[in-house]
Amino acid sequence: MSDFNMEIFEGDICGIIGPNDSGKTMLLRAIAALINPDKGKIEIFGKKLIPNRAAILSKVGFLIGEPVFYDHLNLFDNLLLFARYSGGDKDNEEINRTLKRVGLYDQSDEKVGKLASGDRKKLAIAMAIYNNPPLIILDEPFSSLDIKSFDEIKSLLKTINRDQGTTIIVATKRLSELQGFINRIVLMEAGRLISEGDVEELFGRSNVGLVIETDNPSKAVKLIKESNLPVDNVVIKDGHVRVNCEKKVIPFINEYLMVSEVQVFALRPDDAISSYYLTFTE
Amino acid sequence: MILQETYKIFTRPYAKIVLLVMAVLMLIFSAAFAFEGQEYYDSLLNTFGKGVSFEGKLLNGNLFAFQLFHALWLLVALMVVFVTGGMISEEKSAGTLRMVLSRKISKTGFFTARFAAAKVFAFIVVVFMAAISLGFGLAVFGSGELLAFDNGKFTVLTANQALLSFALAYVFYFLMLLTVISISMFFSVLFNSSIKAILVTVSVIVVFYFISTLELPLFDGVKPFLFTSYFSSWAQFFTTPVNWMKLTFDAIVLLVHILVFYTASVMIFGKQEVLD
Repeated sequence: MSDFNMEIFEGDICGIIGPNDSGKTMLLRAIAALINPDKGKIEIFGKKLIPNRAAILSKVGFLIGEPVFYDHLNLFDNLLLFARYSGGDKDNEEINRTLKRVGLYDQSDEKVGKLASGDRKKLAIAMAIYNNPPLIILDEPFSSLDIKSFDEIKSLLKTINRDQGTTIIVATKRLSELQGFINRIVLMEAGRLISEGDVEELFGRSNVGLVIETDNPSKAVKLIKESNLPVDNVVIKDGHVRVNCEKKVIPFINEYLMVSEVQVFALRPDDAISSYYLTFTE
Repeated sequence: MILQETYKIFTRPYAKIVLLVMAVLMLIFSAAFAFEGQEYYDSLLNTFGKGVSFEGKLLNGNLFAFQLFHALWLLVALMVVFVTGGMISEEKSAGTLRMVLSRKISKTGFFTARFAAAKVFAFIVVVFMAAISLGFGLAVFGSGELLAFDNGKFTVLTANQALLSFALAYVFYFLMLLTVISISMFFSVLFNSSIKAILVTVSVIVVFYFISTLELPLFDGVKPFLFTSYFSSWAQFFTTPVNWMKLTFDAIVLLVHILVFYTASVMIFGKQEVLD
């Protein structure tokens, strides 16, 4: 990783997005002080990470890489060990409450080794949110969750963010997971930061992603770019044109293309972040 | 933290297996001691000449404990490696180290807690050894004077002297186990695989111990530098007079080894990056 500079503010839900090997996990490992950057500095809560490692990490909940546990112990004991490593005392009530929040309370006596991958992910999230840390950092938190669990966990994280003002950083390669979830975005590729910013600022005008199926995508892109239509991030992906725009602009795009003799077969919504991301990676 | 790490040791099967194997070996030995002990020790006494005889009860709990200690001390030390050799490498290979070190605890803190837990385990092993050898021996075979055979010599100790010798020998043996633990944890830091760490530790101990016990002048110059040369010094507590100077020196050598391996482990572990 190089030339990397980013800021995340208190109360943000920040999405770090990038394909495999883009450096997302490496970045999170550096934040967790598991690896030491050759140069540069990381500050959390306004303090330098390295000299204040213990004080800072005691206030951060992590899920980095594939969830790993002591498989021969049950869920309760795993969370208890984790609490102790975090510098806390045995707090049965808080452990049970955390297991309830992620929907694993009924399985608290089960050996972790017997858990399905989705439940392992939930337990990892339980560890990250245990004791309400002011900052939660999650690497691919939604992978291997079924649709119901995905919605539950996403909703839980939103509630934590809203009710406690918890800052949440989520790294993922699947853009769709973050739709309607994040307020700040960091795009990464090949170990570099390619864009970062406030979602509202970036997509305030172009708050809808639009996929246009036409007979001539190249011509459509050229026309849209040359037009004065208020659109952003015009790209071709999978043979279709993708743009970001306000909802009210959609009929004008349709009309403009038809007048320009481009046949429009379909117009369907997409999330704005996807189109934005594609402008950097295409 | 130490309690927590000790709990982790005993939730794994290896620690229980070590104690179980020790108990099984004790039972096998006690059967042999009870059924054929008298005949064996009579023949052993005869090797010292026709005029040697032993007044009192030769087959007693003290002799049982002494002989069992002789039979088990190295085997138990090697079995302990099966538990302690994976204490860091297993956490690395399972990935749990990543989870642990993303918390408040530092690498030095984590290693020291694990090392301390290994010490507790070693202490439990020594207490268990005392219980199954001396405790069981005295309960089943009764007390009496100890006829301690070692290196073709025998020493007779009163029952009280024998108890004191056992106590001191167990303390020295504990020190020897700590040396084994510090070496095994050093290799556990170096390797990501528990099997590698255990195999290398056992190999080093076996090779060094083999050289230490070889009665060949070729290795006389090397022996003082091998930690294994000091491993069996506990047996000197069963000789009269006890050579306190030599025992103190031997204990210091082992302590230095513990300190050196602990420090080296902490330094290397501190510089290692925690990856998958």
